[in-house]
Amino acid sequence: MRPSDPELTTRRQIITRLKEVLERALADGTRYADLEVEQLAQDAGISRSSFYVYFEGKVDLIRELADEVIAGVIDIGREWWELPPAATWDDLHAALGHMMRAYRAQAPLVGVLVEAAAYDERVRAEYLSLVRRSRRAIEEHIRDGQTRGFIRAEINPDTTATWLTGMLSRGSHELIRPATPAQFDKRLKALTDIVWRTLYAGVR
Amino acid sequence: MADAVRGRALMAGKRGRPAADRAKVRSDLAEQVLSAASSDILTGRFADLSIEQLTRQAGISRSKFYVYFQDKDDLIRAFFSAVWGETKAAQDAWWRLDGTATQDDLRAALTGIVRTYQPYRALMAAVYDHALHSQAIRVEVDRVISENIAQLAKHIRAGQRAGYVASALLPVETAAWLTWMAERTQHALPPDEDPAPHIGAYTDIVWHTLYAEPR
Repeated sequence: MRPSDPELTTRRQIITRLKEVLERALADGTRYADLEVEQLAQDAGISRSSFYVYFEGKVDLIRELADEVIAGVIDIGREWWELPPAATWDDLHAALGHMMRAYRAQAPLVGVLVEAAAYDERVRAEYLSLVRRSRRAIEEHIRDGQTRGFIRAEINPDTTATWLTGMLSRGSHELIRPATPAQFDKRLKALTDIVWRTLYAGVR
Repeated sequence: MADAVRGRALMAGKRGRPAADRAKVRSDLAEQVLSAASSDILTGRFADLSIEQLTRQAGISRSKFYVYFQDKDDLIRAFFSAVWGETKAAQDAWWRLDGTATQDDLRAALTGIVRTYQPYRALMAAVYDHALHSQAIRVEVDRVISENIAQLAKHIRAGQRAGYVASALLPVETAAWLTWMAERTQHALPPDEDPAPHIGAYTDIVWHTLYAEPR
Protein backbone atom coordinates (compact mmCIF):
# COMPACT_ATOMS: atom_id res chain seq x y z
CA MET A 1 0.00 0.00 0.00
CA ARG A 2 2.87 2.45 -0.65
CA PRO A 3 1.41 5.61 -2.14
CA SER A 4 4.59 6.05 -4.17
CA ASP A 5 3.68 3.01 -6.24
CA PRO A 6 2.03 4.61 -9.29
CA GLU A 7 -0.17 1.63 -10.06
CA LEU A 8 -1.60 1.54 -6.53
CA THR A 9 -2.17 5.29 -6.60
CA THR A 10 -4.15 4.94 -9.81
CA ARG A 11 -6.10 2.06 -8.34
CA ARG A 12 -6.88 4.16 -5.24
CA GLN A 13 -8.04 7.06 -7.37
CA ILE A 14 -10.26 4.81 -9.45
CA ILE A 15 -11.84 3.31 -6.33
CA THR A 16 -12.53 6.79 -4.94
CA ARG A 17 -14.12 7.89 -8.20
CA LEU A 18 -16.20 4.72 -8.48
CA LYS A 19 -17.36 5.21 -4.90
CA GLU A 20 -18.63 8.70 -5.72
CA VAL A 21 -20.40 7.46 -8.83
CA LEU A 22 -21.91 4.59 -6.88
CA GLU A 23 -23.15 6.85 -4.06
CA ARG A 24 -24.79 9.18 -6.56
CA ALA A 25 -26.49 6.31 -8.38
CA LEU A 26 -27.77 4.77 -5.12
CA ALA A 27 -28.98 8.17 -3.91
CA ASP A 28 -31.01 8.42 -7.13
CA GLY A 29 -32.70 5.18 -6.18
CA THR A 30 -30.86 2.81 -8.54
CA ARG A 31 -30.43 -0.67 -7.11
CA TYR A 32 -26.89 -2.01 -7.03
CA ALA A 33 -28.01 -5.21 -8.73
CA ASP A 34 -29.28 -3.16 -11.69
CA LEU A 35 -26.08 -1.17 -12.18
CA GLU A 36 -24.05 -2.10 -15.25
CA VAL A 37 -20.24 -2.12 -15.12
CA GLU A 38 -20.34 -0.27 -18.43
CA GLN A 39 -22.30 2.61 -16.88
CA LEU A 40 -20.28 2.71 -13.65
CA ALA A 41 -17.01 2.85 -15.59
CA GLN A 42 -18.25 5.48 -18.01
CA ASP A 43 -19.51 7.76 -15.22
CA ALA A 44 -16.19 7.38 -13.42
CA GLY A 45 -14.37 8.38 -16.61
CA ILE A 46 -12.63 5.06 -17.22
CA SER A 47 -13.12 2.44 -19.88
CA ARG A 48 -14.86 -0.84 -19.28
CA SER A 49 -11.62 -2.68 -19.92
CA SER A 50 -9.72 -0.59 -17.34
CA PHE A 51 -12.43 -1.49 -14.83
CA TYR A 52 -11.66 -5.16 -15.42
CA VAL A 53 -7.94 -4.54 -15.07
CA TYR A 54 -8.57 -3.58 -11.45
CA PHE A 55 -11.69 -5.56 -10.52
CA GLU A 56 -12.98 -9.02 -11.31
CA GLY A 57 -16.51 -7.63 -11.29
CA LYS A 58 -19.03 -5.62 -9.34
CA VAL A 59 -18.71 -7.77 -6.19
CA ASP A 60 -14.98 -7.19 -6.22
CA LEU A 61 -15.58 -3.43 -6.09
CA ILE A 62 -17.86 -3.89 -3.06
CA ARG A 63 -15.14 -5.91 -1.31
CA GLU A 64 -12.78 -3.00 -1.85
CA LEU A 65 -15.28 -0.46 -0.56
CA ALA A 66 -16.31 -2.57 2.46
CA ASP A 67 -13.17 -1.67 4.37
CA GLU A 68 -13.67 2.05 3.91
CA VAL A 69 -17.37 1.95 4.76
CA ILE A 70 -16.62 -0.08 7.90
CA ALA A 71 -13.91 2.29 9.11
CA GLY A 72 -16.38 5.16 8.63
CA VAL A 73 -19.16 3.52 10.61
CA ILE A 74 -16.84 2.63 13.51
CA ASP A 75 -15.55 6.17 13.50
CA ILE A 76 -19.00 7.70 13.93
CA GLY A 77 -19.60 5.59 17.03
CA ARG A 78 -16.60 7.13 18.76
CA GLU A 79 -18.44 10.26 19.94
CA TRP A 80 -20.74 8.04 22.02
CA TRP A 81 -18.19 5.81 23.68
CA GLU A 82 -15.82 8.68 24.33
CA LEU A 83 -18.46 10.72 26.22
CA PRO A 84 -17.05 12.02 29.52
CA PRO A 85 -18.27 10.52 32.84
CA ALA A 86 -20.42 13.58 33.64
CA ALA A 87 -22.30 13.42 30.32
CA THR A 88 -26.07 13.95 30.51
CA TRP A 89 -29.06 12.47 28.64
CA ASP A 90 -28.84 15.45 26.28
CA ASP A 91 -25.17 14.71 25.54
CA LEU A 92 -26.00 11.08 24.78
CA HIS A 93 -28.93 12.20 22.62
CA ALA A 94 -26.61 14.51 20.65
CA ALA A 95 -23.90 11.84 20.22
CA LEU A 96 -26.36 9.16 19.09
CA GLY A 97 -28.00 11.77 16.83
CA HIS A 98 -24.72 12.43 15.02
CA MET A 99 -24.10 8.72 14.76
CA MET A 100 -27.55 8.01 13.27
CA ARG A 101 -27.37 10.96 10.86
CA ALA A 102 -23.94 9.84 9.68
CA TYR A 103 -25.25 6.29 9.38
CA ARG A 104 -28.14 7.53 7.29
CA ALA A 105 -25.75 9.31 4.92
CA GLN A 106 -23.77 6.07 4.53
CA ALA A 107 -26.85 3.86 4.53
CA PRO A 108 -27.08 3.17 0.77
CA LEU A 109 -23.51 1.83 0.74
CA VAL A 110 -24.05 -0.14 3.96
CA GLY A 111 -27.21 -1.52 2.37
CA VAL A 112 -25.24 -2.76 -0.64
CA LEU A 113 -22.72 -4.28 1.75
CA VAL A 114 -25.41 -6.11 3.74
CA GLU A 115 -27.02 -7.34 0.53
CA ALA A 116 -23.72 -8.55 -0.92
CA ALA A 117 -22.86 -10.20 2.40
CA ALA A 118 -25.76 -12.59 1.84
CA TYR A 119 -24.10 -14.14 -1.21
CA ASP A 120 -20.39 -13.26 -1.09
CA GLU A 121 -18.14 -14.96 1.48
CA ARG A 122 -15.54 -12.17 1.63
CA VAL A 123 -18.05 -9.34 1.95
CA ARG A 124 -19.79 -11.41 4.62
CA ALA A 125 -16.51 -11.71 6.54
CA GLU A 126 -15.95 -7.95 6.28
CA TYR A 127 -19.49 -7.24 7.47
CA LEU A 128 -19.17 -9.62 10.42
CA SER A 129 -15.91 -7.92 11.33
CA LEU A 130 -17.79 -4.58 11.42
CA VAL A 131 -20.32 -6.07 13.84
CA ARG A 132 -17.55 -7.61 15.97
CA ARG A 133 -15.56 -4.38 16.16
CA SER A 134 -18.65 -2.34 17.13
CA ARG A 135 -19.52 -4.93 19.77
CA ARG A 136 -15.99 -4.81 21.13
CA ALA A 137 -16.03 -0.99 21.31
CA ILE A 138 -19.32 -1.01 23.24
CA GLU A 139 -18.04 -3.71 25.58
CA GLU A 140 -14.92 -1.65 26.32
CA HIS A 141 -17.08 1.41 26.90
CA ILE A 142 -19.14 -0.51 29.47
CA ARG A 143 -16.03 -1.82 31.27
CA ASP A 144 -14.47 1.63 31.27
CA GLY A 145 -17.69 3.19 32.61
CA GLN A 146 -17.91 0.58 35.36
CA THR A 147 -14.31 1.18 36.41
CA ARG A 148 -14.87 4.92 36.48
CA GLY A 149 -18.29 4.59 38.10
CA PHE A 150 -20.67 6.00 35.50
CA ILE A 151 -22.17 2.70 34.32
CA ARG A 152 -24.09 0.31 36.56
CA ALA A 153 -21.74 -2.26 38.06
CA GLU A 154 -24.19 -5.22 37.75
CA ILE A 155 -24.16 -5.12 33.94
CA ASN A 156 -22.46 -7.98 32.11
CA PRO A 157 -20.26 -6.05 29.62
CA ASP A 158 -19.88 -8.96 27.21
CA THR A 159 -23.50 -10.05 26.67
CA THR A 160 -25.00 -6.56 27.09
CA ALA A 161 -22.68 -5.30 24.33
CA THR A 162 -23.91 -8.15 22.11
CA TRP A 163 -27.57 -7.18 22.60
CA LEU A 164 -26.97 -3.45 22.17
CA THR A 165 -24.97 -4.10 18.98
CA GLY A 166 -27.82 -6.26 17.67
CA MET A 167 -30.23 -3.43 18.38
CA LEU A 168 -28.05 -0.80 16.72
CA SER A 169 -27.07 -2.79 13.64
CA ARG A 170 -30.51 -4.10 12.77
CA GLY A 171 -32.46 -1.17 14.18
CA SER A 172 -30.58 1.51 12.30
CA HIS A 173 -31.09 -0.41 9.07
CA GLU A 174 -34.81 -0.94 9.67
CA LEU A 175 -35.77 2.18 11.65
CA ILE A 176 -33.32 4.97 10.82
CA ARG A 177 -32.57 4.49 7.12
CA PRO A 178 -36.18 4.76 5.92
CA ALA A 179 -37.38 7.27 8.58
CA THR A 180 -39.10 10.57 7.76
CA PRO A 181 -37.69 13.56 9.72
CA ALA A 182 -40.52 13.30 12.29
CA GLN A 183 -40.02 9.54 12.68
CA PHE A 184 -36.27 10.05 12.93
CA ASP A 185 -36.66 12.37 15.94
CA LYS A 186 -38.98 10.01 17.81
CA ARG A 187 -36.86 6.94 17.06
CA LEU A 188 -33.71 8.75 18.15
CA LYS A 189 -35.39 9.75 21.42
CA ALA A 190 -36.49 6.14 22.03
CA LEU A 191 -32.99 4.84 21.29
CA THR A 192 -31.46 7.39 23.66
CA ASP A 193 -33.92 6.38 26.41
CA ILE A 194 -33.09 2.68 26.02
CA VAL A 195 -29.32 3.21 26.10
CA TRP A 196 -29.53 5.81 28.88
CA ARG A 197 -31.80 3.78 31.14
CA THR A 198 -29.89 0.53 30.49
CA LEU A 199 -26.42 1.87 31.15
CA TYR A 200 -26.33 5.18 32.97
CA ALA A 201 -29.62 6.01 34.74
CA GLY A 202 -29.27 6.28 38.49
CA VAL A 203 -25.48 6.28 38.23
CA ARG A 204 -24.57 9.19 36.00
CA MET B 1 -56.35 -12.29 16.23
CA ALA B 2 -56.39 -14.72 13.31
CA ASP B 3 -53.10 -16.03 14.61
CA ALA B 4 -54.55 -16.58 18.06
CA VAL B 5 -57.34 -18.60 16.47
CA ARG B 6 -54.81 -20.61 14.49
CA GLY B 7 -52.80 -21.12 17.67
CA ARG B 8 -55.85 -22.56 19.37
CA ALA B 9 -56.57 -24.69 16.31
CA LEU B 10 -53.07 -26.19 16.65
CA MET B 11 -53.76 -27.07 20.27
CA ALA B 12 -57.15 -28.49 19.35
CA GLY B 13 -55.36 -30.69 16.82
CA LYS B 14 -53.96 -32.74 19.66
CA ARG B 15 -57.52 -33.62 20.58
CA GLY B 16 -58.02 -34.92 17.06
CA ARG B 17 -60.15 -32.42 15.17
CA PRO B 18 -59.69 -32.90 11.40
CA ALA B 19 -59.20 -29.22 10.40
CA ALA B 20 -56.68 -28.82 13.18
CA ASP B 21 -54.92 -32.04 12.10
CA ARG B 22 -54.48 -30.59 8.67
CA ALA B 23 -53.06 -27.37 10.14
CA LYS B 24 -50.61 -29.43 12.20
CA VAL B 25 -49.50 -31.53 9.24
CA ARG B 26 -49.17 -28.38 7.16
CA SER B 27 -46.91 -26.65 9.69
CA ASP B 28 -44.79 -29.77 10.32
CA LEU B 29 -44.42 -30.31 6.59
CA ALA B 30 -43.44 -26.68 6.03
CA GLU B 31 -40.71 -27.04 8.62
CA GLN B 32 -39.50 -30.31 7.08
CA VAL B 33 -39.31 -28.89 3.56
CA LEU B 34 -37.60 -25.67 4.64
CA SER B 35 -35.10 -27.48 6.89
CA ALA B 36 -34.09 -29.66 3.95
CA ALA B 37 -33.57 -26.49 1.90
CA SER B 38 -31.76 -24.55 4.63
CA SER B 39 -28.38 -24.53 2.87
CA ASP B 40 -30.04 -23.07 -0.24
CA ILE B 41 -31.80 -20.47 1.89
CA LEU B 42 -28.48 -19.54 3.52
CA THR B 43 -26.72 -19.08 0.20
CA GLY B 44 -29.54 -17.07 -1.32
CA ARG B 45 -30.47 -19.76 -3.86
CA PHE B 46 -33.92 -20.43 -2.41
CA ALA B 47 -35.65 -18.19 -4.94
CA ASP B 48 -34.25 -20.30 -7.80
CA LEU B 49 -35.36 -23.67 -6.41
CA SER B 50 -38.21 -25.42 -8.18
CA ILE B 51 -40.94 -27.26 -6.27
CA GLU B 52 -39.48 -30.42 -7.81
CA GLN B 53 -36.06 -29.76 -6.22
CA LEU B 54 -37.59 -28.71 -2.89
CA THR B 55 -39.71 -31.81 -2.55
CA ARG B 56 -36.92 -34.14 -3.72
CA GLN B 57 -34.56 -32.74 -1.06
CA ALA B 58 -37.24 -33.13 1.62
CA GLY B 59 -38.11 -36.66 0.48
CA ILE B 60 -41.78 -35.98 -0.21
CA SER B 61 -43.77 -36.18 -3.42
CA ARG B 62 -44.71 -33.16 -5.50
CA SER B 63 -48.37 -34.07 -5.26
CA LYS B 64 -48.21 -34.16 -1.45
CA PHE B 65 -46.67 -30.67 -1.51
CA TYR B 66 -49.60 -29.36 -3.54
CA VAL B 67 -52.14 -30.94 -1.19
CA TYR B 68 -50.88 -28.60 1.53
CA PHE B 69 -49.32 -25.59 -0.24
CA GLN B 70 -50.22 -23.49 -3.25
CA ASP B 71 -46.63 -22.46 -3.95
CA LYS B 72 -43.34 -21.51 -2.27
CA ASP B 73 -44.76 -18.28 -0.82
CA ASP B 74 -47.55 -20.28 0.79
CA LEU B 75 -44.92 -22.64 2.24
CA ILE B 76 -43.14 -19.68 3.84
CA ARG B 77 -46.45 -18.39 5.24
CA ALA B 78 -47.20 -21.79 6.75
CA PHE B 79 -43.80 -21.90 8.46
CA PHE B 80 -44.18 -18.41 9.93
CA SER B 81 -47.68 -19.20 11.22
CA ALA B 82 -46.39 -22.37 12.85
CA VAL B 83 -43.52 -20.62 14.64
CA TRP B 84 -45.78 -17.73 15.57
CA GLY B 85 -48.40 -20.10 17.00
CA GLU B 86 -45.74 -21.91 19.08
CA THR B 87 -44.17 -18.77 20.52
CA LYS B 88 -47.39 -16.87 21.12
CA ALA B 89 -48.16 -18.52 24.46
CA ALA B 90 -44.62 -17.73 25.66
CA GLN B 91 -45.03 -14.09 24.55
CA ASP B 92 -48.32 -13.81 26.44
CA ALA B 93 -46.51 -14.56 29.70
CA TRP B 94 -44.60 -11.29 29.20
CA TRP B 95 -47.71 -9.24 28.38
CA ARG B 96 -49.37 -10.52 31.57
CA LEU B 97 -46.67 -8.97 33.81
CA ASP B 98 -47.98 -6.00 35.78
CA GLY B 99 -46.94 -3.68 38.60
CA THR B 100 -46.41 -6.61 40.99
CA ALA B 101 -43.84 -8.33 38.74
CA THR B 102 -40.19 -8.55 39.81
CA GLN B 103 -37.08 -8.72 37.64
CA ASP B 104 -37.09 -12.50 38.21
CA ASP B 105 -40.63 -12.72 36.83
CA LEU B 106 -39.47 -10.86 33.73
CA ARG B 107 -36.48 -13.20 33.42
CA ALA B 108 -38.79 -16.23 33.62
CA ALA B 109 -41.05 -14.81 30.89
CA LEU B 110 -38.14 -13.94 28.57
CA THR B 111 -36.54 -17.33 29.22
CA GLY B 112 -39.77 -18.94 28.02
CA ILE B 113 -39.72 -16.87 24.83
CA VAL B 114 -36.04 -17.48 24.01
CA ARG B 115 -36.26 -21.24 24.74
CA THR B 116 -39.47 -21.75 22.76
CA TYR B 117 -37.91 -19.96 19.82
CA GLN B 118 -34.56 -21.78 20.09
CA PRO B 119 -35.39 -24.83 17.90
CA TYR B 120 -36.40 -22.50 15.03
CA ARG B 121 -33.56 -20.03 15.48
CA ALA B 122 -31.12 -21.20 12.79
CA LEU B 123 -33.78 -21.71 10.15
CA MET B 124 -35.52 -18.43 10.98
CA ALA B 125 -32.18 -16.59 10.81
CA ALA B 126 -31.65 -17.95 7.31
CA VAL B 127 -35.21 -17.06 6.32
CA TYR B 128 -34.79 -13.50 7.66
CA ASP B 129 -31.53 -13.05 5.76
CA HIS B 130 -33.28 -14.25 2.67
CA ALA B 131 -35.92 -11.54 3.09
CA LEU B 132 -33.42 -9.20 1.40
CA HIS B 133 -33.95 -11.11 -1.84
CA SER B 134 -37.51 -12.31 -1.69
CA GLN B 135 -40.55 -10.07 -1.60
CA ALA B 136 -42.76 -12.89 -0.32
CA ILE B 137 -40.52 -13.53 2.69
CA ARG B 138 -40.12 -9.81 3.31
CA VAL B 139 -43.91 -9.47 3.59
CA GLU B 140 -44.07 -12.27 6.19
CA VAL B 141 -41.12 -10.88 8.17
CA ASP B 142 -42.72 -7.43 8.23
CA ARG B 143 -46.04 -8.88 9.35
CA VAL B 144 -44.51 -10.82 12.27
CA ILE B 145 -42.28 -7.93 13.34
CA SER B 146 -45.16 -5.40 13.16
CA GLU B 147 -47.33 -7.70 15.22
CA ASN B 148 -44.59 -8.05 17.87
CA ILE B 149 -44.04 -4.29 17.97
CA ALA B 150 -47.78 -3.65 18.30
CA GLN B 151 -48.09 -6.14 21.19
CA LEU B 152 -45.14 -4.68 23.08
CA ALA B 153 -46.35 -1.10 22.48
CA LYS B 154 -49.75 -2.10 23.86
CA HIS B 155 -48.07 -3.55 26.96
CA ILE B 156 -46.02 -0.35 27.41
CA ARG B 157 -49.15 1.84 27.14
CA ALA B 158 -51.04 -0.31 29.65
CA GLY B 159 -48.06 -0.13 32.01
CA GLN B 160 -47.83 3.63 31.64
CA ARG B 161 -51.54 4.01 32.47
CA ALA B 162 -51.14 1.76 35.52
CA GLY B 163 -47.86 3.43 36.51
CA TYR B 164 -45.39 0.52 36.27
CA VAL B 165 -43.72 1.51 32.97
CA ALA B 166 -41.73 4.74 32.64
CA SER B 167 -44.15 7.44 31.53
CA ALA B 168 -41.63 9.33 29.36
CA LEU B 169 -41.09 6.42 26.94
CA LEU B 170 -42.54 6.56 23.41
CA PRO B 171 -44.46 3.25 23.27
CA VAL B 172 -44.22 2.38 19.56
CA GLU B 173 -40.64 3.57 18.97
CA THR B 174 -39.29 1.94 22.13
CA ALA B 175 -41.09 -1.28 21.21
CA ALA B 176 -39.61 -1.15 17.70
CA TRP B 177 -35.97 -0.93 18.88
CA LEU B 178 -36.47 -3.66 21.49
CA THR B 179 -38.16 -5.95 18.97
CA TRP B 180 -35.42 -5.60 16.35
CA MET B 181 -32.85 -6.09 19.10
CA ALA B 182 -34.43 -9.40 20.10
CA GLU B 183 -34.77 -10.52 16.48
CA ARG B 184 -31.18 -9.74 15.46
CA THR B 185 -29.46 -10.92 18.62
CA GLN B 186 -31.29 -14.23 18.90
CA HIS B 187 -30.62 -14.98 15.25
CA ALA B 188 -26.92 -14.27 15.66
CA LEU B 189 -26.47 -16.54 18.71
CA PRO B 190 -24.49 -19.69 17.93
CA PRO B 191 -26.92 -22.65 18.16
CA ASP B 192 -24.83 -24.52 20.74
CA GLU B 193 -24.22 -21.54 23.04
CA ASP B 194 -25.90 -21.55 26.45
CA PRO B 195 -28.59 -18.86 26.20
CA ALA B 196 -28.74 -18.16 29.98
CA PRO B 197 -26.18 -15.30 30.11
CA HIS B 198 -27.83 -13.75 27.06
CA ILE B 199 -31.26 -13.99 28.65
CA GLY B 200 -29.71 -12.21 31.64
CA ALA B 201 -28.58 -9.28 29.47
CA TYR B 202 -31.92 -9.19 27.62
CA THR B 203 -33.78 -9.10 30.95
CA ASP B 204 -31.50 -6.39 32.30
CA ILE B 205 -32.00 -4.13 29.25
CA VAL B 206 -35.80 -4.57 29.20
CA TRP B 207 -36.13 -4.23 32.98
CA HIS B 208 -34.16 -1.00 33.20
CA THR B 209 -35.69 0.48 30.06
CA LEU B 210 -39.29 -0.19 30.97
CA TYR B 211 -39.89 -0.98 34.61
CA ALA B 212 -37.06 0.29 36.84
CA GLU B 213 -37.70 3.86 37.93
CA PRO B 214 -41.07 4.09 36.23
CA ARG B 215 -41.28 7.88 36.62
